[in-house]
Amino acid sequence: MTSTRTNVGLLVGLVCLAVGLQTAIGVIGLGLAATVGVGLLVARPPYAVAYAQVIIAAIATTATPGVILAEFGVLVLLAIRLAERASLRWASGGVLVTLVVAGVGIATRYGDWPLSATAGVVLVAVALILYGVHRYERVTLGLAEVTS
Amino acid sequence: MRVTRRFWALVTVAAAFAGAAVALQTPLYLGVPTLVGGWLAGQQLAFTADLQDTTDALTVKQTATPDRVLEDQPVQVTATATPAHAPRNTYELTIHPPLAMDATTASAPLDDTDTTRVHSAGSYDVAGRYTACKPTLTARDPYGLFAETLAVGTQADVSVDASAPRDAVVLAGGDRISVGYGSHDASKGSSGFATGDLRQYVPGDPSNRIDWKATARLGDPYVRETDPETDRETIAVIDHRGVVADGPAGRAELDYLREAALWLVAHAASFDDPLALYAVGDGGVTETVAANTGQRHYRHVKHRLYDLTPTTGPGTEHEYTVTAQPSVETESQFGATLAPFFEHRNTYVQRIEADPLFEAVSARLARRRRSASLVLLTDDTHRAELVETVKLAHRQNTPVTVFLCANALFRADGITDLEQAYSDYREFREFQASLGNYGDVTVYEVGPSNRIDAVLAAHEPGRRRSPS
Repeated sequence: MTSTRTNVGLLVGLVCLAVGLQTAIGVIGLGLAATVGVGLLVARPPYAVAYAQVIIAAIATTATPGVILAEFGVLVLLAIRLAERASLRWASGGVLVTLVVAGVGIATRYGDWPLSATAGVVLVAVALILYGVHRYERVTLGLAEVTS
Repeated sequence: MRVTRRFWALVTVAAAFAGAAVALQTPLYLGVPTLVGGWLAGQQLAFTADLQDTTDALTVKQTATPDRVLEDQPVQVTATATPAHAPRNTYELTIHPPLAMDATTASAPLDDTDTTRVHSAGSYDVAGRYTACKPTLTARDPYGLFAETLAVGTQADVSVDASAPRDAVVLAGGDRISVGYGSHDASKGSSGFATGDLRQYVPGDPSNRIDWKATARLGDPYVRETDPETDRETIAVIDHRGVVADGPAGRAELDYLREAALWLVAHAASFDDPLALYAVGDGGVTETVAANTGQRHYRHVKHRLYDLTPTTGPGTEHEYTVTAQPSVETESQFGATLAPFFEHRNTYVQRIEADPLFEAVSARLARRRRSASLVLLTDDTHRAELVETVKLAHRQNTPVTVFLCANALFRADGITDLEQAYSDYREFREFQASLGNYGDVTVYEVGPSNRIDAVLAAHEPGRRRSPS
């Protein structure tokens, strides 16, 4: 992904996050979004994205339009950071995994599962997906041991 | 694929926020493990895809140069890799020389656009066939989360031959009595060691046991019996002074003398004869193995022979030039006839008492307590010393067998002038024949069959080379 497209994508993500936070909590939201921007410059990508999510979790009490817009901005930031050193194809794969896991988590909430169960389901889903990709890599490269 | 500490750090962060979500009853904190999981999955997919694309398009070759060497000769293992496109991950190519090779693994990062070369040089101590396993390619993703190592390219085979000649022959009077490496069978008497009694040849006797000297002398074919019941001690004296270092590595004079000595050991072992070994270097006796029998003893002797290397240092043969005064009176007809032969004649008086081979044989023969036969393994460089040594043994009624290398065939600059080489070789043959005149002495020539054939063929074009 070219640096121009990356910068544009990051800007779009930050703007969405800033507008969402501002809608949710006011002007302070803009300041918090700015700190996320600084985080994107100094920290490794997953930590900066996680920091943005932590801000949203700290201020959000319900799923208001502002919160949803902020979450969308975080997702865009994740996708742009993934696409920096990988093709859009695999960046899309990472975003898809995020949406699937999030969907599973939301589904458990709608099923009135306790939060601990939801947390467990989310962690297990992530672990299963990562292990699945690992096995796929072993098989496609011929590194998997054949057991009779 | 392998995961790194950075991966586990991210997993720990995700798990921590999952716990925080439960502890603080804030579901949105579960967004952190969700986002981290998506991030890791995306990186994993990109890593795998790039690894697969790169290995599919990568051309890796591994070679060993040369692929056939002697022991302790240098060999280089080289791997080259040419990528088809600039990869996303970082790659490192590593070659793994065989364990028997005294070389270490070598690595180099894969060049994005140009061919990458990795070398490792070493040598092998032991003969055999070795295979360098396929080079490995180690991939790491740009964020240091994942790594994978897989074998790529081809193996490289190296054949290591023993530093021992395979074309050694033993000749008696120009006739071969033992040809090639490993074909000698001492138990059937084909070693030619003449230690037994003479008897007339009868049909059925192996032709390689005919004693040609006795046959020429007596006019009828005679064979020499090797008496397996005779408990005769054999004293083997092998010369490993600097003069026998002549010749290419692994095919020097000492290597051929060593082969003859090994045949001798095999012969002694087959009859369980006591065998003593003395190795003579430039400074004197360097190895002493007292006479004994038994497989352990013969193995020990073999090990001492394998460990022999030429010593360095000046020779100890001294030559003095003395002008002998004519001592014959010239008044008589007899004196007048002989006088011209004594005029202006220089005589070489050679001091050989301090020469190591003579000294070693003299000391050992003086100490022996029972009958023994002496086997000398040397070359024709110190001819006077060899003659005196043989005479000494003869004076003490000791049968002598000499295995002699022709130094003319092992010149450092090779055999460039075949005519000169033939002349020198013919002189060697004459010296060899002259040695046989000093009593119970049998002289065998040991040397490389191809060089002998080349020298003789140059002078005798019609000579048919023996198969090697």
